Amino acid sequence: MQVNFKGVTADYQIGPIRSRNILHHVNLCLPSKSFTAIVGHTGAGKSSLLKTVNGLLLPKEGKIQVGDQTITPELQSKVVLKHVRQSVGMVFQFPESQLFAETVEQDICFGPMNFGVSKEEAKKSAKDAILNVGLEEAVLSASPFSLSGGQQRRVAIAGVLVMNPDVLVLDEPGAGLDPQGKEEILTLIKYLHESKGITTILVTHDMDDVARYADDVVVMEKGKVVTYKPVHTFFNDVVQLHAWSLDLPEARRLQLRLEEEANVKLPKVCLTIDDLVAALIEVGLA
Amino acid sequence: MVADKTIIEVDNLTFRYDLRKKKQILSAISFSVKQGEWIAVVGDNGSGKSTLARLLVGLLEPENGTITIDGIQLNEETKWDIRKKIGLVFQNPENQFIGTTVQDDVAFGLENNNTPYNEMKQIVEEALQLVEMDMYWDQDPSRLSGGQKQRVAIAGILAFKPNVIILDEAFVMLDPKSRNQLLSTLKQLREKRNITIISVTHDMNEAAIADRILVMDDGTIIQDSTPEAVFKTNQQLAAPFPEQLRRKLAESGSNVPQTYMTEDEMVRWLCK
Repeated sequence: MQVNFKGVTADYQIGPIRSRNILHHVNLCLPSKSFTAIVGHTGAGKSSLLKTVNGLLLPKEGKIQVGDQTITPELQSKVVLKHVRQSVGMVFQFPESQLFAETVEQDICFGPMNFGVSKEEAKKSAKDAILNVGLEEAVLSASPFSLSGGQQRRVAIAGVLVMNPDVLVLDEPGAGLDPQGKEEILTLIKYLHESKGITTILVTHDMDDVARYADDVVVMEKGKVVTYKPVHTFFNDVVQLHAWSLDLPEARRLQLRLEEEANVKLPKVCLTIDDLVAALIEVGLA
Repeated sequence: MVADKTIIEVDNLTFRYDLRKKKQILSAISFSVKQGEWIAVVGDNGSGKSTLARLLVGLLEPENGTITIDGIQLNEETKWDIRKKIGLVFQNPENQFIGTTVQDDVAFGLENNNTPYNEMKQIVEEALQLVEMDMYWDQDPSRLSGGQKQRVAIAGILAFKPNVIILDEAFVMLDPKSRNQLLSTLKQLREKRNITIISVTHDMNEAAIADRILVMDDGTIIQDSTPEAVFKTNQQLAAPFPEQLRRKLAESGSNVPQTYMTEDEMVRWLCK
């Protein structure tokens, strides 16, 4: 499902209190089945952009098209939002803080049952979802609050996956997980993206994750989209990355340091450790 | 720089959340920290790192064992004095906001300590400058972005000028540039004020700059030594990038050295 932002401007104005604009004229078209990483300084508007995708933040100007639904400033129709929210799955920062039910099963079933799915069917999907995120079925009867942070995160993600979203929007899903847990969650997201063709939008600060999982990168700065490029092209332009004060993936960073200090040129842009190992052996440095 | 004075002494610490269950979150752990040391605590989710952090500031009560901070044993009566010496930044900053504006929030701890207004104003400004949030002083903290919230939470602790700062993954939502800036700010503070830093982290590059790493597994400390020794002997732990590269090169049949390498060593070896 395609997500298309057209001239989107938004702020968090409530009543008479004005806040600064959080998004300024964002134009961005993310094709169906793409995997896009959104990066940028804290406060650049990344999370706000995600919120406009399912109407949690309505635009002040412009519109957002999600599939054949359109979110506009004057949107009054609950029907549109309902459709949008059914197709856009949203995983917030620290999603485990939204767990509330007595058991994991009730928590996961909450979403589908709100959208009119029968209890039996919801339970069946809950079982699939919990296995999908790599937990055991036995967890379903446990209280979500007896689980560890990493397990809670998985339960929260299962609660989103159970809705079978066409678009999955994730705000730093790996934050606070141990390296292994983080890798598992992201590998899972990548797998779901590939096997189900879910359009995936991932906010992250970790350039290694960008290099490993995403196809395209969006850079946001002060509420604007300043670039939108395929991953490989993006990490090629070191000068520009530096200007945005963005990091490089570890492999690329070490490659550049080596190229300078050893005065060699590796045959290609190395984004992962395996790229780097292969390139080092190829040129005979290691 | 590291003085010989012991600032934290943990002896035989045991903790369970649910006394009806056998499973101990922490089982009989002991360690000590010297004034001015930088300690990284690493380990999988559920290994007891955050529980340890909460016990150290008296937010949880141990089932057994003692915690001594700067010569005072932590208990119900002493915990208020001890909290003037030790500050904790939570992983999720939402857990610690109380003020309606950024500056009120940072001032909260100082107000509780009856700091005079003029002094307080200056301290708050300085703390917000250190984390580069001074231009947001009049904003509502709940409307900030995740990383900005995290920076305000850190400013709240810095304003308090504690001897010991515990960071429970307090950097996870920061962009790399802010993270590096804050790390160097903390390094400077350590040199200037000789503060002690305990950082609970999953970022092995961050752990690698510590003086010592405590590796936790299932409620016990399985290793307590220098980053070099830890990454050399512990193959389970995700290693810093240059060490990962060394292992991968070794697997691919390269004749890299068989021992742990820092980035500088790796670059030198590759440039030889």
